[in-house]
Amino acid sequence: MFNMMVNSFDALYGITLDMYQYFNKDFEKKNKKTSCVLYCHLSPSRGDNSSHVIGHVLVQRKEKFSCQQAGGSVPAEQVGLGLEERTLLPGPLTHLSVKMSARNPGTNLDLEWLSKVRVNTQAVLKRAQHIQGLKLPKKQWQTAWLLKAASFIDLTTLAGDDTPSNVHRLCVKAIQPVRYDLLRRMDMHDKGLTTAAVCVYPSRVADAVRSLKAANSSLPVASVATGFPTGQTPLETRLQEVCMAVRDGATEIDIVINRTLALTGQWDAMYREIVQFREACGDAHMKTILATGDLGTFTNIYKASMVAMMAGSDFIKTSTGKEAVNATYPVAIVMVRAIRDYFLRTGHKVGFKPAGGIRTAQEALVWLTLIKEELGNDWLHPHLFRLGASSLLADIERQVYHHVTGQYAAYHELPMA
Amino acid sequence: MADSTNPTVYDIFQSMEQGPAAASSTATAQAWLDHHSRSLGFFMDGKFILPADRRSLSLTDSKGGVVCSTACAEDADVSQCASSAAAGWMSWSSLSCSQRAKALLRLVGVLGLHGQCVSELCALCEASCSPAALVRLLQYYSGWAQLRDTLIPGWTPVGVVVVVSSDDCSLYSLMLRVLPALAMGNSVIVVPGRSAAPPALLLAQLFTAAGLPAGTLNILTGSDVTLGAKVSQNPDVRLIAYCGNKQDGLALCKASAGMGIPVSVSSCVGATCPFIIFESADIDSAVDEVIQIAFKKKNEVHWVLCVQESVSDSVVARLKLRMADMKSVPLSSDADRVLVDAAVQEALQQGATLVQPCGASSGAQYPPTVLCGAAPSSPYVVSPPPGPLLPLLTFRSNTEAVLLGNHSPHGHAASIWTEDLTLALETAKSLSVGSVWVNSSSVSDPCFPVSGHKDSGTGTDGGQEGLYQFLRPSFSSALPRPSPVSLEYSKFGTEAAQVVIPDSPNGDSIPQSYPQFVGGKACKSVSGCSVAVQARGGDSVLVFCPDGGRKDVRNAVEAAIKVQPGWMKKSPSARAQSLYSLAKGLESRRKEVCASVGAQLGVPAKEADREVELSIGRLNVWAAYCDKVQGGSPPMTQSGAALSFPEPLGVVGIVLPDDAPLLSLVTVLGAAIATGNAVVMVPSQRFPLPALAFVQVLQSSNLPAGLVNIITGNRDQLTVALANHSVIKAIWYWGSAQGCQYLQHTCTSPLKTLRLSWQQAGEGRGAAPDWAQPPPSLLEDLWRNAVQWKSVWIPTA
Repeated sequence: MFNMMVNSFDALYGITLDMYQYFNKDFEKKNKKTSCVLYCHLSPSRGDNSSHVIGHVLVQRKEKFSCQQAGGSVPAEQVGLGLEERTLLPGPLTHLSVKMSARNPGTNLDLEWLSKVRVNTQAVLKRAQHIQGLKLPKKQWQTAWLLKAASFIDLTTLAGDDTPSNVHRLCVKAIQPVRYDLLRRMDMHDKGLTTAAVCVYPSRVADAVRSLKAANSSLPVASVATGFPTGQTPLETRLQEVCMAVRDGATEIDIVINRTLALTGQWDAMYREIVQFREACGDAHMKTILATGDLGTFTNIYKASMVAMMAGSDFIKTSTGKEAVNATYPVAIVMVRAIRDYFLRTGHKVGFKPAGGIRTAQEALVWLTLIKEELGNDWLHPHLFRLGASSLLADIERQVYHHVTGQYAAYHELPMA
Repeated sequence: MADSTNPTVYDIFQSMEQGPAAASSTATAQAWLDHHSRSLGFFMDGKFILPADRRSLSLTDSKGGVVCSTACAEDADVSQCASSAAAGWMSWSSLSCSQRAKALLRLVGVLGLHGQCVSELCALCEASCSPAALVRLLQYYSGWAQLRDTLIPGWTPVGVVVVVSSDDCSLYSLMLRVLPALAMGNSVIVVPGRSAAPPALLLAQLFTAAGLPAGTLNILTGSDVTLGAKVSQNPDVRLIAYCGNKQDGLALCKASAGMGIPVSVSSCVGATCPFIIFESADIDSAVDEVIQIAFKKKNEVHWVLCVQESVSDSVVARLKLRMADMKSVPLSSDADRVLVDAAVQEALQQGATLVQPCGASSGAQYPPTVLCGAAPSSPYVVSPPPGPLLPLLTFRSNTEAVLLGNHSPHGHAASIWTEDLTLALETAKSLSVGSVWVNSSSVSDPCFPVSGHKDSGTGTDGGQEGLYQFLRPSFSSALPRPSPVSLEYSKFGTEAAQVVIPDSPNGDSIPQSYPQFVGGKACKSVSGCSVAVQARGGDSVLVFCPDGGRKDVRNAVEAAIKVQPGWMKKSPSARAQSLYSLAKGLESRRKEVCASVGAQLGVPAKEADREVELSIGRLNVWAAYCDKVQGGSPPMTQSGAALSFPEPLGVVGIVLPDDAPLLSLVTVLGAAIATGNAVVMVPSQRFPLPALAFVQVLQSSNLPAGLVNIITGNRDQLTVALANHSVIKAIWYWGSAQGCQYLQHTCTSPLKTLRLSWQQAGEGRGAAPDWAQPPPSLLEDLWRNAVQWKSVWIPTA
């Protein structure tokens, strides 16, 4: 059993690495079947980000559960912001992460933290160039990565002419993103491959929920809200939009921030708005669209990302897809660095969703490489990474078709969305 | 079935492994090597030559396989190569500027055709150089070949240049010396290090195919760098340019001592460079850059990470996250592994903590490792082991960052990270390194003049400033070179001075005793001894001057180093004012000084007066130069701004010639202090009287006390004292060939910049220029020798 006191997240991170190594060694040596649960309860004093965290790491083995209380006085359930347990399957530990909560609970707005933000534009651009120049996976690695990319897609239709029929087609495609026979030839047909969600306008949520229900799928329905894409409607109607989308069955809400507030530096007001949205979302996960094309500078993007995370966003998302400039790699680097910074300070992992203009399988691979490079494999999971796209899936399917058959597909050979 | 080398799609889907890197093809390079039967010879007279039964060295790749073998040159090859280069020089230098430019430009086309082969061969031999970088070099220097006579009038090529590199030097560094030498019209003998040899041979072949006259570019390979000294014995060789690690550079300096050839050393390999992260930095970008540059397989420099204390936690946290999944770096041998292990063990014992990716590594590879809690005195900081280790030091304030950065014998480059422009420029100014990269690192371009500071070099490379080493003022004729004599270096300058006893002491005219000038005070020598000074051609004792020695030099240097930084920071116009008033001071004491010149040289008053007149004029010329010696803003290849500026060397030791004792003193003094240096001068041993008279002028001047020091006495003895003081950064020497040889042999640790001129015995003019009417190129040569160049890169979006 491990029982440790840690006083900062950095130290905690170190300990988990130690434990990770310890367990790996242990398994190699004894080859024992052991299940272990890592409990971690941390209580960051909200608002004080000097990261004074009292933590407690407990490990349970062989079903025997023991709990040590932080400071000896507080019951585990009451400590801090919530308790998450992660049961690991028997076998060598491959993934051991410190997570306090499945969702980002947010923190107080810390303007001092914001004021210290520095972003060097040319260094970010250079980094983006470097990442684009990295070698992309080939052969079956490429195909596996593309299928992974498909599993990250929020399959989206956001058009004025959306009707129940094309939303239905979209839902069916989301459930079966790649032709069954192709998946079968790679032995991937029974692995439950779907896109991550479907994403529609609030008025189409009900249609999407109905279609998915009819197909016996539990695929989440995401809805854009809060005056998408510009956010230029009164706060009251924006909040109502969220509530109605949730009522209709959306389990993920993509909100847009108020760019007026961001551009004029009213972070406090922006924070309060997003907190209200988060309350309105209830159990639905909230993705905050920063509309980075409108924000002007990287520093602004970093600050907006940080405020959105402090206000409790589960994801931060680059753009609506309706701005002149959409998801670009340099912007993504700034945002994922903000995510990393937030994780280092609070221990919460916030997800990232680039959206708009991602059309080719090649681009999808670069996006995955970027996340792997900057945030590591932990983030390559649909609960922390999404790709907002509509036509990308078709290209991925074509590439997969080529890998499996060795031929290039004609458009009519692949099912339309 | 799935195995580790061929996993199923589902395996990868879960693990998200990147997959094996596709091995890059080396077919073209292999074909070229096969064409040469994998044993490479020399390249001279425009063709490959491989005499039979030469000893050969095999070059192995990273996996231990033999790539090819290179031959070791013997005496016959050396002399054949030298005569090939001499012939090449004749044909190459007789071409017009535009013809040379055209030939270099044609290479760009040839390189376009064969770039694949060059880059593959570089990759095979681990002599990294991208064809794009080579093309950039060629284009830049073909431009200079075209414009030489237009923009640098009054200068001619030196002759045959020997370019030497050590085994670990990259092809790019090598070509950065070869191409400017060619562009200026010299022919070149390249003595490449082991890894750069095959690509250099290939390039020589391609260059000849592009129409470079036979013999212009020659390649000679051997077992070590002293081959460079061997080939330099040929009288046509006029310059040795060296790049590579420090030890080989010093060996080359010692081996070529006494040949009368300047050696321009650039120890760009193996230098320790600070990577400074201030709290005002974009920390994420800084950490990304560190990770990209510090753990490469083949690092030319060793980085030391210096982080401001207030942000060190967040830097370390980011390093941990980013390094968690990094792969181990291959080492060059198992022996290196032992060294690295020992260094890490030692670091751990001293309380360092490691940041390493998880997972162990074995054999000849090592995981990237950051050693937190290093100190400047830690052994792995002082002499870094060959592996992916990065020491991390913390500092408290901006000034401490500069102190840390400067506290190393190396002065190659530094990278500083801050979003605060003022802080960036202040730090860039204060660091004594050749290149400063602000918010970036390891960028280079031939249009930037860069001098290695401290032990990192004695020459300037790049830009127009870097061309002068391959040129000489056209007024001076090529001199016969002395040949090295066997000199007992430890005994040099210890011979007792010849005692002169005044033969006819007549009571009423006891010769006067003059003081020397140390730390702003006229004083006797520490030893208290004096020596007699005789007039030219006479036997009678004119005056007595102090017999200065080691301790006088020490006092002078101490005084000089105190005032030099303040003098350097003065505005150029303030320095000009001081020099103008010095000229005025000389004017007001004209009579006394005239008398001393006349008495010393035994010349009529008119001639003495002329020398004083010229000296006054010369001081005014240097005063005018003060604010004209300036840097610039070279164009950058990417967007952003860059600065290049000349910086004074520091304290310069000067041993003055016998010719025109006052005028030469004033000319050299003016060059040194106009550019911001302090000087310790040794006037001519035979004719010190004018210098001693000048002491009175200095005394009444408003130059800071200690900026100019004049110590008289035995020249050899004082030369030894100057050579053995580490604060002195440069020595300008006019004197015997033995003295030159002594200095070249001795001034290697720490490295001093030497400007040596030997005078033949007797009254011969030797290397001395015409002091009275120097062409502009002489003065230019002087001030260029008094400065070192620094480039500051500030890339922007």
